[in-house]
Amino acid sequence: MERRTFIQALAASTYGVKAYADAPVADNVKAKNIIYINLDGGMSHIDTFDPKDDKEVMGDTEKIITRGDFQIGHRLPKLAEVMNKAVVIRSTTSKTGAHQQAQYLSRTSYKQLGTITHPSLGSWISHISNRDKAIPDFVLVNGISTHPGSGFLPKRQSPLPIVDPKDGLKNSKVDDKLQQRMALLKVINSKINAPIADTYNEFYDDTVRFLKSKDLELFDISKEPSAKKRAIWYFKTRSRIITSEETC
Amino acid sequence: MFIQGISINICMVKLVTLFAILTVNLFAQDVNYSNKIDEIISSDLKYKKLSMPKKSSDDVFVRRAFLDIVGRIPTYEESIEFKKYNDREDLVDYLINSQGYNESMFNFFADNLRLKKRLNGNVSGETYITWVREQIKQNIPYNKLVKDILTAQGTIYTNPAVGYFLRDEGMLLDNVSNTFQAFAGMDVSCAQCHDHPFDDWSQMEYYEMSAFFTTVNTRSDKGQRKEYQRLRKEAEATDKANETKGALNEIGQFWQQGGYRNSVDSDLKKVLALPHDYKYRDGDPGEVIKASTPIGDRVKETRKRNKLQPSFAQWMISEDHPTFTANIVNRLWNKAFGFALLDNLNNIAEYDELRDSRNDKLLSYLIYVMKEVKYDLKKFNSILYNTKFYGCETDPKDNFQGPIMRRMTAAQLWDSLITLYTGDIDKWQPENRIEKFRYMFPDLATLNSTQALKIYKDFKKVERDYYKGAPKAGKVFAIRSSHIFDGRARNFMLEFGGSDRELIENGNQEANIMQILTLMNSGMTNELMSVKSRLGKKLLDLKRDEAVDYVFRSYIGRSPTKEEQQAFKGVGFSDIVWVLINSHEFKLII
Repeated sequence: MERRTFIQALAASTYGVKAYADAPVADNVKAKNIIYINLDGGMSHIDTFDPKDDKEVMGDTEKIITRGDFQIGHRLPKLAEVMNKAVVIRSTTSKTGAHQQAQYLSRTSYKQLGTITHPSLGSWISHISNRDKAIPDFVLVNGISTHPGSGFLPKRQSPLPIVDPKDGLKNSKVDDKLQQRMALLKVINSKINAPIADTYNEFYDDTVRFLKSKDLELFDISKEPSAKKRAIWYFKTRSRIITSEETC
Repeated sequence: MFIQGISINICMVKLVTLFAILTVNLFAQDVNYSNKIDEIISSDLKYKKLSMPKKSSDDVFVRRAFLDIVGRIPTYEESIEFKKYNDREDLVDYLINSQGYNESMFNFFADNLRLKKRLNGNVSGETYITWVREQIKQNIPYNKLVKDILTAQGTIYTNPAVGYFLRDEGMLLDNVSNTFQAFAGMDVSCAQCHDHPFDDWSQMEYYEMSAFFTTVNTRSDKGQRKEYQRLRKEAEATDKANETKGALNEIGQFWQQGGYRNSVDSDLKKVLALPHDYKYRDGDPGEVIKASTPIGDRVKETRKRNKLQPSFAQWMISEDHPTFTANIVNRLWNKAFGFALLDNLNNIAEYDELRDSRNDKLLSYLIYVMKEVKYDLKKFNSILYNTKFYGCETDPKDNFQGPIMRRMTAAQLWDSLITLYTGDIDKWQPENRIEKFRYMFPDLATLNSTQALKIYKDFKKVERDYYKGAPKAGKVFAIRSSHIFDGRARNFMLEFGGSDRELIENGNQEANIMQILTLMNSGMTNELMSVKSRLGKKLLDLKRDEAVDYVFRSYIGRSPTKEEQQAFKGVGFSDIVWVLINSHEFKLII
């Protein structure tokens, strides 16, 4: 499967559930937004989306038919009813059986090396689209600290991390003194010449543009209907539980 | 000798006199170690046709030494104090013997041992955390510390060191992987499921290593479980009589948190068998594996199965172990200089040989020094921080020309902000309650459910008091990062790339917009900007110029330049603080 098809399919299967409800995933579907949910560990694939014919492998999990053209494990009867709206990819594999390396591969498409770090999917999109942006291209909600960032791409292509989605985007009010303070900051910062200082200069410029942008409202979850808020909260708490049990 | 004298003094301002060269031999042995390190580095640079870095200014040195050794920036007063005495060796000595050093080293070990407030099996990790803190405070030699961890037995209350096994309770094989990564810098986790794809580790070897820990038993025995069932029945009856559910739930908590369900002892009958899908020719699925070490000194299982754990520990800390010493040396070097000699701290070896390092001669010398000082980490650190190389200007480009210019770690940043807020970050210390907890949970057979519930209630009360007397800044505790394991302050640290302690030392120092928003607008920034803050109040008695100097030195460890004085004319206290918190010189270690 081509990467493009993969991304489109992923978008359709997660974010676009409603938008593409009855439409088949066509080649010309372009994703506007992508929600990528990464469960760091969790249920076994053979018990869920990738059941096998071999009884011995399957244990007591049975295959059931779905509305899609594939089968899933019998413990997910409700999901089976909406599987015509999902795409399941079963062909990804890794030659390394070690979790950490395989996770790295799945998150970056590269083998893990000691000397270089690779970008995450969002950073690539951000880099390729090269949008003149006021708000960051993507957010990382409740990510673990090993989740890839911008890797070898410029640091400004890193995700905007939201540690606790309940809080939304914290600390984003604008002070009318911002401009004056930024001018003074430039005076004091001009003394340090180093690549790391350049990175921070760019981040500060981006942040100031971001703070002045109208799109900032997007992050205010208090304006969301309460059902959605609950969903976000649920995701947060559940995903915590999953991470903490990952290696059991 | 003369050539050596010149090369080691290049980054010193002082002239090398014959007298100075002669007195080198009269210094303590530790100074010789530091000098030798400088010599190795300078000859390596010469060979690469690179120049030795310049000596950093005193202001820069003081700030960096505080950050690296005690994990925070100096206060105005501390910064001035050094200016008066101006003796770098004295400063390093003072810092290494202060409480701040213990706290900074605690964070180092907390990331290495993945310390959490709650261990697997819902046991409180407090006594284990306190125990680690005590080992650092008493400067227990590193090899002894590792041995104590790997041979610990008891409950979390009778022997808190068992926390290391309980952290991975129920996951023996993962615990073995972690042991190799934390103490030997070896990533053997691949071999847990199959032969290692790149390295020489075979799955058989992995099982042979794990077999050393098969007798480690973390589950309670039948007798204990029977007593627990009895208490449950009693509690159930109580609940039934009162139409409640609380007693039964609390008995469950009592069982878990009292250390009854999970503790560490030996079950000499337990064996380790190959997994049912074992697919290599050297063994059959289900075959019982005998313990054996694949690298270094060969240690094998004998008839005395109670010797399994101690013999493994002895093998791990043996001076002949191919990576044990290199691992700790590499991690401490990385902490001090911001870059590792062997890249990827958690994977420094290829099977039984160290990978190529950035300076092999230096690495083997440091390994030698670590053995010479008998794994005394205080001594070893003091040798590193007393090198001229440490006192040089930072290298912005990672050419081995000085320590790396880097952003503060999340912990350094938090502790610096709290220092600005409270003035003395180490004044508040949590109480050592190991003794208080030790005899809290008696033999289950001697208790009825009412007594058990009473004990649990008392325990919860004591447990809650951990933060008693700790100062606050708004809604967060204004205390060291080393005391913080959850809550908002912990979120702050995760935002700045602090290790989540799920994996060994997996923190990062990457930048992102959230961090900048936090520095610009967070509650902590606002507290510090207030004229009612500690610093704000201090300035009331000072003249304008003195006040600006006070704030500059408090935040970035130096006085303002003429140009800055001009630019900041008429600017209010809050704005100056905002600019300083957001400046490169604040968040970077330059």
